[in-house]
Amino acid sequence: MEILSVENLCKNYEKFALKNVSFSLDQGFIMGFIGRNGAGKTTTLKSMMRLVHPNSGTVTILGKNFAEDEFYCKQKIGFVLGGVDYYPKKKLKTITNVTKRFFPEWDDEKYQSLLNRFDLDSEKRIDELSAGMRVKYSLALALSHNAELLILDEPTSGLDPVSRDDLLCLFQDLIEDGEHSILFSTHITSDLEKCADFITYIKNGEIIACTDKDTFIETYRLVQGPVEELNPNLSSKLIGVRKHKFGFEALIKTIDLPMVARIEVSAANLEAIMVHIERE
Amino acid sequence: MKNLLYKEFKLATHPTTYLFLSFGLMLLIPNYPGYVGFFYICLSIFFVFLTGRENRDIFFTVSLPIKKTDAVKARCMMIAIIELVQILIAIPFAFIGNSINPAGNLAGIETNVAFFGFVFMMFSIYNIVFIPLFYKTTYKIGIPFLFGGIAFGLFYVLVEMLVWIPSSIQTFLDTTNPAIMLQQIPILIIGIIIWFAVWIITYKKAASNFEKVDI
Amino acid sequence: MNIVVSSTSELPIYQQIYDQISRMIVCGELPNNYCLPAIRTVAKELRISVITIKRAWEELERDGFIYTKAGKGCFVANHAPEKLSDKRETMALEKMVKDVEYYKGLGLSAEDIIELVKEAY
Repeated sequence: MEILSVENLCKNYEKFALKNVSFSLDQGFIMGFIGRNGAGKTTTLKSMMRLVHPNSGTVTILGKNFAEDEFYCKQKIGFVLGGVDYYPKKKLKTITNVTKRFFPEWDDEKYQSLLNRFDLDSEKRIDELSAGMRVKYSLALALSHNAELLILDEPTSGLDPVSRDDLLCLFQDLIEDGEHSILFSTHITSDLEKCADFITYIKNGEIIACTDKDTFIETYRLVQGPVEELNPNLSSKLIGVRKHKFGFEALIKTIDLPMVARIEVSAANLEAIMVHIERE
Repeated sequence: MKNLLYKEFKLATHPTTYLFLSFGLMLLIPNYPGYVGFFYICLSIFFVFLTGRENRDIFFTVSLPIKKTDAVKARCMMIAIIELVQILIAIPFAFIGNSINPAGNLAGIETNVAFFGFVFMMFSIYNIVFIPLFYKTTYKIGIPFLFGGIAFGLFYVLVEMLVWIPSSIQTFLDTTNPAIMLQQIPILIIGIIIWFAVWIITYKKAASNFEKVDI
Repeated sequence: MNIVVSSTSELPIYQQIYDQISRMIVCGELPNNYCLPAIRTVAKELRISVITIKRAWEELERDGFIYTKAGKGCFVANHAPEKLSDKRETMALEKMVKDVEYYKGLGLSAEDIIELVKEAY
């Protein structure tokens, strides 16, 4: 079942525009939303939540139109913009006591068990938590009001490798039941290698790929070879070519692979794909 | 709305709000301009918005399942409550002040019925300038406060002039004579009506400004 | 049941899993009607995408190694012993075809290869 669908989201700024952003996510999966800094990830997420007013486009959550059923949709979503950094001087329990009033489905028992599971002390102040713990706290809040879709903007940025791994592990735990889904933006490709099921790639405000991770990676190959092999036909198919003294290296779509013995072909990983695509 | 108001008082209020509420006491100071204590409340409202920005209150609020306009309404209601409470606290001190300073207030208008009518009007002016201007950006706070403060100040000068320039208006306004105070009641009522009407306009304008803002 | 996945291998991850499970079935390590763990559990434990595991399971099913009971899970298909050895031979042959290409490229004859295989075994 489709938990999220974004169709033709457009937002125009003077120097930047989101152009017909569309993608969808099925229940029980993790989608990584990837792109460079400034590619439009945060704007997309904010437009989806209507914090930013899109010029056009629709967002559907569990079959309901977000614009028409905002109240319902917000109950079903846990939205975290870069960790909890609001009211840093307040205790967790104060924030929780305020937050829970807004959610009819709030489950106190679940909340308590999540605090235990995440090792969170409700007597602590927000600013006493590490960045990773803050994300966990916001997850605890979202899960306690029975959010089914977790939307996180750069949850792993600023985390050390161990906390990052810990958080990604937690993401996979959360979706194991097949009911929860996660959409998170990141520019760290290894996050996605580790845990994403699907990848949506945004470049300059446009979605250039939205597919499952394996297919996405298999779509591309890395090629290397001598510069003499670079005929116009081949060059037109290469992505992000880098010529150097001893040859060239580039990305190519698997279907465009040339049958030339002198060209070395190897599998690409997300990082290589991203670097080459952005080099274009 | 109840939940949002709870949020406003639990998270958004600034400690100075409660401190400045007690500034009704200033009405006991002999020969001191009575309106000053009320300006402190305007200052504390400014602090509420300032710390709100620091605490990313707007982000917190709009990610809750509420309407954006309700977030504005709750904030406006909170301000109205603070203003009303301030006035209610000040009233007994006005009485006490008048009785312990029988010579009257040489530094401005007597704290009489008309005085409170004018306080209501001052709050209205401050609210309608400051609040909608803030919700135009949600991050610029100094400029709206400056304009709000200036508007408050101009009106303050205007009403104080009424009691400085000797005239029949002066004798009518600058007194604690109970009989005349009874006749001042219409000024108080008009003040309250203006305050309430302007509050509604303020909320509407602020809410429509906030709707247009990209957060 | 042990599965080892290498993210640096040239082989796609679903292929690695497919190879290992089909091998276990062929040598009888996983008996007939053995219930395979749930896809989501495998994904979580191995820390790889649910889609990847799903794909490995689908390929295994397509090639007749396992079958799905709706709502119950996936089970190792019933194989008669001779069928298993047939399967084993097909799998070995597939691999050999690829390897032989490589040896041919090195200029080895069939006899040379057999000799070498004997030596290596």
